[in-house]
Amino acid sequence: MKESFDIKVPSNPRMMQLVRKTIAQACQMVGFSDREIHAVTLAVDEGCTNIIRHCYRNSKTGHIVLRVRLYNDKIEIVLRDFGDEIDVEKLRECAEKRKRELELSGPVNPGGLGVMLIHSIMDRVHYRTSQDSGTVLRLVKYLSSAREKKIASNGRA
Amino acid sequence: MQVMVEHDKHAAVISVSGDVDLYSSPEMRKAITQLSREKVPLIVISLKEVDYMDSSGVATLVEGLQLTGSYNGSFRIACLKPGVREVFELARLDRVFEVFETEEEALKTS
Repeated sequence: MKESFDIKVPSNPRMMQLVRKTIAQACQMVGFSDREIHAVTLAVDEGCTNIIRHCYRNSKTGHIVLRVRLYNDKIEIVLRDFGDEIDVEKLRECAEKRKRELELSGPVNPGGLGVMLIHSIMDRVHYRTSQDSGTVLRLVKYLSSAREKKIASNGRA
Repeated sequence: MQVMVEHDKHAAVISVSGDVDLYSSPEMRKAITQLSREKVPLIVISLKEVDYMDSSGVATLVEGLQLTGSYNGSFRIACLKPGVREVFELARLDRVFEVFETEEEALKTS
């Protein structure tokens, strides 16, 4: 790992611009393209938005902690909240359902779009949730070159 | 984010500038809802000054499409920048909305 840092922001939608700028800059340091920077920033924004809406039920008094780890070939962002427990299985099903619906027709109901975007953009998405300690969402995105190498080596294995 | 509305009884252009996210999308929603309430036949959302839109913004646009559809009105999107176009593509919205290169085209096409 090259570098890591934490930021803690209130669960206030107004703070999302600050989060986006920070994540964009971190992605730039790893070496992502402008397109990938935009996509990763969107995925993190969607993660925070879901925390504000579902874990804190739009209350601005909660907090979100973002731990950002910069590697040579990837970025890892861990989002942590201290709000309501979420149903991880339901969330996964929702993203899958949404993806299938979009493939078949088009969005009539935009619910679940944020989760679907997170899964479409990031290479790894992992949730851990509990009643006592809130939810941890771990997001990983590899540089395109690293991803290609990984796929090739998996193919050989 | 800023929202400007120009309209007559036939058409309205909502020009949005800045990031459209959970914090700012209610402002865009307010303009769309107001015009839909007046049953304006054609609503064009101009996004030429928008570099960033998240799913809250997308949801607001889908809502606009549904609202105008309820009175057989038209709801069109104009001037998508690359970052926003990508969100539209990821969400397959490019197939759902009528998307135009310019505001003029969006207003002209019947």
